[in-house]
Amino acid sequence: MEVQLFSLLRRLTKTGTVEVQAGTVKEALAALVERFGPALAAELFDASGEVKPLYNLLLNGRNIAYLSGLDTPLAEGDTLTIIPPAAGG
Amino acid sequence: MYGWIGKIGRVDLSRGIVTVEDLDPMVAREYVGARGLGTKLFCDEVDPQVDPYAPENKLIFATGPLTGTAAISGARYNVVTKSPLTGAVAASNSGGYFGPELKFAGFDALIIEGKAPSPVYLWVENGRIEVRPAGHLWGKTTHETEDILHAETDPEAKIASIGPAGESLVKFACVVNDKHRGAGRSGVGAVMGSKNLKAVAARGTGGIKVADPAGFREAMRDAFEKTKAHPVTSTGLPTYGTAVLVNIINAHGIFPTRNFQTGVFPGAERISGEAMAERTLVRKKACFACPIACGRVTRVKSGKYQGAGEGPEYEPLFSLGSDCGVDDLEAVTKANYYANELGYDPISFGATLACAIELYERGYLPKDDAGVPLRWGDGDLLVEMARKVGYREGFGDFLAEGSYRLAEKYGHPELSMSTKKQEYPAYDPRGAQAIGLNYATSNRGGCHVRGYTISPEILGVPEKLDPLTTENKAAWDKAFQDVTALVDSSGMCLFTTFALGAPEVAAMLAAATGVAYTVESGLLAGERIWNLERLFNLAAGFTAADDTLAPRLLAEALPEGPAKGKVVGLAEMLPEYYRLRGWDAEGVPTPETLERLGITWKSSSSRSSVA
Repeated sequence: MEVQLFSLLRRLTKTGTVEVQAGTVKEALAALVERFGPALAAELFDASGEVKPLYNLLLNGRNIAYLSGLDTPLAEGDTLTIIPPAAGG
Repeated sequence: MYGWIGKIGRVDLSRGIVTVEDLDPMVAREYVGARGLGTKLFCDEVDPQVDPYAPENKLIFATGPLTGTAAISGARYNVVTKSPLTGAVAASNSGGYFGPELKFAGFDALIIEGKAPSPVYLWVENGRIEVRPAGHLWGKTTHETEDILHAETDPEAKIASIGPAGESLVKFACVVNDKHRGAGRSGVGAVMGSKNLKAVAARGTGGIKVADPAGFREAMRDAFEKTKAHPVTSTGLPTYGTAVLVNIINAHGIFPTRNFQTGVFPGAERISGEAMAERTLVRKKACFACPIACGRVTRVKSGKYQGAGEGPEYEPLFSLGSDCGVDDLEAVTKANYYANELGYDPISFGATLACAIELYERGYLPKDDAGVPLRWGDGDLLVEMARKVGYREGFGDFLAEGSYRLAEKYGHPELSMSTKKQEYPAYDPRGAQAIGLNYATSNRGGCHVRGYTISPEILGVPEKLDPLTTENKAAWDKAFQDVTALVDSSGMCLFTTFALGAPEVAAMLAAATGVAYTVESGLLAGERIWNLERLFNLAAGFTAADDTLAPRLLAEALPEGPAKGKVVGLAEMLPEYYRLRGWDAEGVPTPETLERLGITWKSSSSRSSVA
């Protein structure tokens, strides 16, 4: 499956898309941290290990907050989008 | 007075007479400033039935009590008038440095009435207003006008002007200040052009007194710390500017594409904030007293679209980009430069061109009228029309009327993506239901900054709301609309509200003005302003039937993406919205609501006024 990275995450990882093997969103995040190291972990997670509240994670464009959160299952061909805190108008 | 200067300048352009009046402290307290104050002054003096281009229509430049203070992003002013695009009351908001300078020059607001017999500009300097001839400026771009007036008045003057678009009454012409900031929407620049007023140049050395300096410092410190600590205002907005939203909104499947025929644009990446950072960004730029600095100074270094300026922001990346099917960042950037220099709203322009392309594609608009084939994704067409519309040249004259009148001319008004004849901004509401209700009920027609519910529905600020459902969205819309009216009236920038809320705004207002603003009284002021705008529109002829959306958004489901199959459930939200607003089933504020808000609308008067 594909992970899309926007904004600050793209700057940090120097890439826009990453292919990972993962069965859930939680596993996909773990795979990303393994690949990109503690700098990515510090960006994604707060001190208690939770995904920072202003991060938005989309599975095929749908926020996982309205699916099964980090336990949302992933399948071949899915796209997981990770969006750092952002705004505009 | 504190916070407010306490003075209003009145300019009768027909007779060339200038007077200075005191600001009524009661009016200031109840309507705060900027959008609220300007709307109150306007409604008191102008018949809602007035022709927007008649000398009897007035043009009001109004600042807020926090404008020009050290309050965070206290940079804003509003231009209030009756819109030639919508026929509704327009309050168009801009940042930069002009608003603060108008206060330093000694005025909370300027009321401009009548029509000058020949082109003029206003020179506002330390409590004096002079009407000066502007024949030599007529036909100049906004940038040329600023350069000439800096040489003619004071190099430190701050200038708001119209370009050729305002002069030629393009219905979505704007007022441009500081070269790259615009009171952009609803055609306020066309009203300025109708009055033969080319520019207002301001320079002042006066200060702004605050009532409680220690309390103001504390309120500012609190607001500054929260702004610097919030991930959105400390990092998210400053890093990529508003353009960061291109990829994000596209991922949600609500990035309007080809006249809202879909919400997924395959070329989004090529016109994204990330692409701008690599290809066109020169540096960031801030407005007065703003720690966020969302502005982007840009340059197209070479090629046929070569140029320099600012932007585009997120909105024109949609209207000039995805909505016209254009994924050429340099072409979009060049078209945006034309909008700033010729002085028009790129949202309405791009959306009108998109409407024209669809009309052409469906065979409703003949090639003989267009002069050239109108095709999706044609960067050269976009740039050519961006220039022509500013001068009403060729097919640009057709586009200058806006999408509704264009589509109506060819018998298909349903293809105009607008409410109250004002084009929608950059979010397809079929995948964000609350913004659909906001578009339908906005007092100035299709608009996102009257209640930016994209914040909770898409960005998760202040909390996540499911964008695909309609439950409780009416309450969110009302709350966002009321707090926005307060912030717009304070003189602060709406972008501060990603980090700050009514408590912080009320604290700064109270310390600055000495009026005991609280969260409750501040939000009540916001609600009062909203209802006053509503009353004007009702008296101008609008009804509940105008609180609607383009048929496409209500009946044609999104064809792809995460919101595939969705339309806007407006009928599920609107009755609840009216009820929460204290309006009857026809969308009219009840007597009890008006009494609670302290508004008396004398609609029987030939010269309608609000006491």
